[in-house]
Amino acid sequence: MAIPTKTKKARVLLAKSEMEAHDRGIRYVATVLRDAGFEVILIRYEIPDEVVKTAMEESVDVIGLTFYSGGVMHDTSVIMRLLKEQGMNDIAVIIGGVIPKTLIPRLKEMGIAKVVGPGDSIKKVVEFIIGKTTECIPLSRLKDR
Amino acid sequence: MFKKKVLDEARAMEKRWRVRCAGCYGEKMTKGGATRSGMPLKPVYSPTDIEGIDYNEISLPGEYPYTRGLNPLQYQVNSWMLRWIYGYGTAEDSRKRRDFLEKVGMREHIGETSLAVVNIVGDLPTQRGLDPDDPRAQGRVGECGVSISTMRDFKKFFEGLPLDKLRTTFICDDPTMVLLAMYIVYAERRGYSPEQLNLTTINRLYRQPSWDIISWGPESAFKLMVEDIYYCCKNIPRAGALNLSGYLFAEAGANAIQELAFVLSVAIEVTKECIRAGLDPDEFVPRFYTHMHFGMDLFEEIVKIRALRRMWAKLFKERFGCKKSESLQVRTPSGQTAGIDLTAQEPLNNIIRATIMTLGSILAGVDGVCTSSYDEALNIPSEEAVKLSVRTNQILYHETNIPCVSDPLGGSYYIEWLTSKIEEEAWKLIERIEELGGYKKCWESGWLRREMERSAKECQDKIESGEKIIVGVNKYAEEQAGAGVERTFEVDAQTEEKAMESLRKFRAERDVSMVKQSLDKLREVARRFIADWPGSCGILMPALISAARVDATLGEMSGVLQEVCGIGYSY
Repeated sequence: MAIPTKTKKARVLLAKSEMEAHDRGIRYVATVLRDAGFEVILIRYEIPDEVVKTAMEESVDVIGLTFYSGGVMHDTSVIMRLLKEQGMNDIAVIIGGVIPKTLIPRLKEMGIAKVVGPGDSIKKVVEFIIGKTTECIPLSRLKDR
Repeated sequence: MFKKKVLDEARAMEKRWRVRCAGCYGEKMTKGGATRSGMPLKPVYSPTDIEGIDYNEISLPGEYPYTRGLNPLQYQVNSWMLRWIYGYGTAEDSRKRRDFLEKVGMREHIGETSLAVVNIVGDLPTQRGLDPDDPRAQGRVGECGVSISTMRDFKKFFEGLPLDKLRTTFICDDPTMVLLAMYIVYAERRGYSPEQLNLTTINRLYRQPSWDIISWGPESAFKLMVEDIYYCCKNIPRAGALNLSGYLFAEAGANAIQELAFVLSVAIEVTKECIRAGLDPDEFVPRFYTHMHFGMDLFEEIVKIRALRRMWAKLFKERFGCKKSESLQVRTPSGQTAGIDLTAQEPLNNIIRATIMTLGSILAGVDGVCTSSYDEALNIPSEEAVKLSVRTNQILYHETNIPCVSDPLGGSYYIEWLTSKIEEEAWKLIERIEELGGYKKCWESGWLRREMERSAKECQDKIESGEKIIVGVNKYAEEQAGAGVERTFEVDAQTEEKAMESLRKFRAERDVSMVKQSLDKLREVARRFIADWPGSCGILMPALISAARVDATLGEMSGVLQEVCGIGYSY
């Protein structure tokens, strides 16, 4: 992967439903991304519309969503539709958690850039975000994880 | 515990052993490892390691301080209880799963009594106190638990089951009292009085630091927990009233020491609040029960359970002056195998992991077990997988001869040393929590969450770096991770529609003005309940029962409570 020369802190919005109790994964991702130099905004939402509103207000480059206990198809379709309506399709949306294989083609169709799951290395998430942001911190600055 | 001569000999023997080992394997090899919580270990243990332990601290099974178990003959009398948690789709779907589990052998035996087990977990909207037609429930109805919102759902689930021969638990924390009220009214319609019911209310309203769901704030939460306990004490002789869940803490990241300290800190704080509300500890403490985590660090997990029993006995005897032996015996009806230690890769490996964890729970002497199915890292377990997890227990019980002797590990130098060490560390952490103002304050400040997050990060960093090996994930991995998980079970896609249709019919058939009137009354009582605490203890449950009698739904009753008590996050 080419190491970008210019540096700009990529802004990442990580979002979890207020009903989703499992936050161990998303908090870990948030901490690692923060330590790697990204600006991280971590929110809990009541309805998925709030994710798009926050993404707009905070002008983020990447959105990360997490699902362990259902709701992935519903929330994702709402978020992707609203992003499109707002002309914000350039934001890369990445999904983590326990996502059934059978749903992945439908999620990709909606425009989801990446699905990560149990057992995936955090490195992959970091590298992916670097690849998705045009100007961002060089890989060499990332801690050796 | 040993004579000086024995200790001198043991010391000399150990010294020779160490020199010989260092000669053969080098100094480095004799350093030993560490437990998951970071407790440094020696390469071997001997009488010298337990010379300082008073034999009375170890005692015998069934004797104070219960280190070796609550019952003298343990599994020689009865098998440990099988307490599976289940629930998905509609009430009918979950009833089918219950009947299946009973068919493969899930029953609870206490002496001569044999009870069928109802241990159902609600879907996220139910847990949040929302009816399936609430816009916020969309996309989650029946997905990860059962959708229950009306008396009609109760009828569909419980029809034909003898309520006095059941042990019922609804694993839905925030609506604990709402579901209890609905169950009491359902039982009433079937001709059962509250005294005839066997049930345990889950009541884990303290759980937010470990279970990041929107919920009551600390102040309201403790009042509501005590109200539930109060009602159970006064009305249902055979009701467990508070689930102390080390499981939730551990799944959120807590290590063994933190799990013990957090669970006991909750017990301390709830006990104080119950006393403030005028209850006698000997009346309510026997109704507390734990739900402990059982992970892959086999021996540390075993001693955690042993330390828990001893610490509980001392705590309630010495600090709260309990007299009844039931108050000094901490119940462990559902030692649950760790979800966090299961892997989505090569899921069949989880059968082995769950077997080891179940074996550990039994060697620790728990009262009951909930063994995870091998596909639980993927989805709601399939029937095949859940049957296997029951069989795991039946094989351990019938084929291994383990139940022949009570507490077979008692007296092991290593086990007794580690039990005392873990206990000592857990007391220190409890003291720290007390210094910080107690559980409630540590919840409010976010301290508890941060502590668990720190432990979770340490653990995950070790997995990422390969220091901690997970077979099939970061070593010997063959599968490509990240392509999503293979499902072995699917919830019916029509669930949401079915649940909404059922709710529509239910709403159409009731007297709307009666419902409105009872909810207004509930609102008024709830306001007084919060404002006049602790004098108001005992007034809320009757108002909920009245609302349930006129067929108010789970969402309607929960909505009123949430409006009055307020829900949100403290940090």
